[in-house]
Amino acid sequence: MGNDIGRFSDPGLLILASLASGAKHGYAILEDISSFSGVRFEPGTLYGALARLERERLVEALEPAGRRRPYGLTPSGRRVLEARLATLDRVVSVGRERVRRAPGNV
Amino acid sequence: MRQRGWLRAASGIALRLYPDGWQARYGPELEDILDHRRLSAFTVLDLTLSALSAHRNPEFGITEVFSMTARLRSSIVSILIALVIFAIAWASVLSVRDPLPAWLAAVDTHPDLRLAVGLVQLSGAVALLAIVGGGLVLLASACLRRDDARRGTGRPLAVAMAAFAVFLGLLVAAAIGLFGPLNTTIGPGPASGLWVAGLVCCVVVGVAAVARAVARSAPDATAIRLCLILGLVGVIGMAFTVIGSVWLGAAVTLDAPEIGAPLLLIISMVVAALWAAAALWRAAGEMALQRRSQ
Repeated sequence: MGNDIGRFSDPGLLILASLASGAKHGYAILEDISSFSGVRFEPGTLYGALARLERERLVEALEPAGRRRPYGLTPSGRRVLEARLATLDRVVSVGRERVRRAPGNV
Repeated sequence: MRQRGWLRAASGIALRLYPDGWQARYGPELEDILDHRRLSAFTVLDLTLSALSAHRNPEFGITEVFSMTARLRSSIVSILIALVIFAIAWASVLSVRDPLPAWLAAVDTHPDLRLAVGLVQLSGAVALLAIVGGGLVLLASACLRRDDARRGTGRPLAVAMAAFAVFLGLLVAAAIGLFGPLNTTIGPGPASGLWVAGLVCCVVVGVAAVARAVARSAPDATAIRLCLILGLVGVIGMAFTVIGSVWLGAAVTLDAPEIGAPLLLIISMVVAALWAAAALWRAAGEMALQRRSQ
């Protein structure tokens, strides 16, 4: 059985989480996501998600340096990220509690 | 990083599958990543599928930029159309004082009626002037920027300017009490119906001229921004007009039912104001999006 749990590897969420520590260009985002989550996106997936986030004004493109263009979180992107993380927190805490109380875990 | 040559070449081909606008926007960044990252067959597959997806959903391509411009134009035209409905309703609401003797009798016992009409008059005039002014700014910009392929904005400008001049003349004539329904002291003049018809004609002709010119050209960003600022002033004016109209309608219904509250006109005005506000919101969003994309 694989360990992919769908929404937890949502590219949009991971990109927002990566940009929460500061603006990054595409390659740095891929490396950062890989280091903190173990998820390794391919460039097509990354830019598909980045374009959607940019279209939804959750991230913004900054001035490019050569071929590399950094992206930063917008205020609404930060709010969306905080809301998603709060939801995940609740899921984690409820999940832990239920696992702890499960019959086989006494 | 040394890549296997065929993987890099295949990735380059996959990149060419993206829409032109997409390639122009994200191509160099993707090339940079492909040059620095270990590639696999899955990278090529991912790029190919993403390119196909980008054609179905151009999140940010040249098509998207063009459609943003089209949406911006349609929003502005939408505001202007809302203005026509608003102008008709506003001018007609002011005719609530017809017949004058009944109105004057009602005002004598309920002075708040005069205040409500005053608010409707002033804020409505501000709203109309602001939005018409915004339309003229846009029109002037369109005329200045016209190119060989999009000639033909000179005549709409002349028509709109003429309509604006007559419109201003009607407002001034009514404000100083020559005729029309703007003067609170004398009430509707003998040619009140003519005044309303003239005002509505001016707005309709002016809006048609501006819409025609805007559809044929691409006004610059500064003109659009100025137009949107004036549009905001106009929408705020509309909001105050709606408040005044509701106040007037309630006061007439409660205190002077013999006059008859223009409820349908007030509802039309509310609809027009909401329509204009929604179009302005949409236009401002598109403008912000375009600015961010540049």
